[in-house]
Amino acid sequence: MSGVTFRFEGQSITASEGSSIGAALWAAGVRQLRSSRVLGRPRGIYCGIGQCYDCVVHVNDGPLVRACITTVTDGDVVTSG
Amino acid sequence: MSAALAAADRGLAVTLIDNSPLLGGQIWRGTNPEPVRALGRHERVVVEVSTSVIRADARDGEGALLIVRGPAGVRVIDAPALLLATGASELSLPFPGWDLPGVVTPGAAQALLKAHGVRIGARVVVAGTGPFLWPVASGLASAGVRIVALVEAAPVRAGAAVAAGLAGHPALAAQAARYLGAVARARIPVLSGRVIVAAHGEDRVESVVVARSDGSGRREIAVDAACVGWGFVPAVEIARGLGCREVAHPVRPISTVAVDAAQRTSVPGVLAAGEITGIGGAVKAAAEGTIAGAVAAGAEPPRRVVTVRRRAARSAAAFDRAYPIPAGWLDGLEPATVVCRCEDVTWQQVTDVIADGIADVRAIKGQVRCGMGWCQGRICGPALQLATAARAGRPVDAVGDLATRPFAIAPTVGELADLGAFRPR
Repeated sequence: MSGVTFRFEGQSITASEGSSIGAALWAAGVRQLRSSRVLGRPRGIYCGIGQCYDCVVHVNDGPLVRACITTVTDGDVVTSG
Repeated sequence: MSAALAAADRGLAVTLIDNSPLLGGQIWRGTNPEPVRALGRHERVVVEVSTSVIRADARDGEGALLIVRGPAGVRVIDAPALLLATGASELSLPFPGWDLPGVVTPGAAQALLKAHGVRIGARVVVAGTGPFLWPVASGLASAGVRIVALVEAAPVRAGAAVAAGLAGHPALAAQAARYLGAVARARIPVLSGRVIVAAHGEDRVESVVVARSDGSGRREIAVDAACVGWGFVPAVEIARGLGCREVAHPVRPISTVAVDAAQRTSVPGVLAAGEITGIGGAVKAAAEGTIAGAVAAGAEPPRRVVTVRRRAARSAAAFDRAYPIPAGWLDGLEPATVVCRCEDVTWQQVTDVIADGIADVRAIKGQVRCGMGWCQGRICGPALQLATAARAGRPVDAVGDLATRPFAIAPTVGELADLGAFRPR
């Protein structure tokens, strides 16, 4: 399977094609995807199926998307939600 | 899938809408090739994957008007008959540290593994209650994850009660035996009558504290991930939007769609099958789907399938009784424990409102924003319902719920504008 490369908060991450952003980051050891809105607590993947919205990130400066159900594309620049 | 095949085999033109890219739901995830192939080659079936229902309204006469979002945008489907099989999501209960990265639902661990081949951790505890923990723990173990413990809140004797419930159901009994055998073969230590009372870590989970339900016997276990789940919550929002009658569970914070023996809901031309009529697993869901598909096509349901449904429902009732939510789950909450993850609402904020005499979860939501965030109460709503009932001394089904969502998924303003001529009733 061919690989894709993207960036998360400046870090270069490689993933297999078709992987979700969340799965690729988890495999790379990244657990915290953002800080919570009010208390600033670390948050990452929780439900893994698009229900909880805890894993939201920005892709290429776009609106927030759920990392766990968003497929990563080669060259994506992903930033914390 | 079963309903689509049953209806199409009897002459109906069927559109199958699935919000996932792969058919088969969260459990199968496209790994059940036989029905997928049969649907793919059926001339009367159109399969639309990666397509979500935004909302559905009852149609004049029978059936429903659905607003759906697919790869090609939003559109309205005029359906003279509609079968809802919207499934369920996992029930979460807050505890100190449950929002730390690395603490996930069992379903998240399974989704990462099945869909992406990614292991949730190297040293993992699986905890909560119910039979879903078995395949998750054994599945992770066979993928090379060390399951340090399977922490089951129910006492050991729960297994005997379930065995009795499965007696009349050879297929389910074999499935249960397979999963339990896999747990035993992987040498996973099972800690019965225990719960995770806290997760510790800086920016990710580093350990969990396991204790008996009464708080005694505390023991800290080093982990790099913890999977905690308390059963399932039927996804009733589309059915509720249609006005289908529901039945509230007497002790769990869930409600199910009421159906008759033909799987018909209270709304003409709208049928329901699977988890939304009662948590029961894939066997029950497929049987109900087959019955509903036949009924939609004006045929008699196959008698053999009616028998399967009856047995599966009996087994589901046995599981429901054997794996209750432990009464003491609230005791471990600390004032600073986050209840609503989206809006960072703490247990202190919730108890303050309940102490003011407010015993309705929608009023609590209005007061402190618990359930008002991105997930629309999908995660905290059931827990808030349980907590409110317990604190206010009222039945679980008498404090309201947060499952009313006019839009099952959030549409953009642009999508609503694109719909133009559509006027909801």
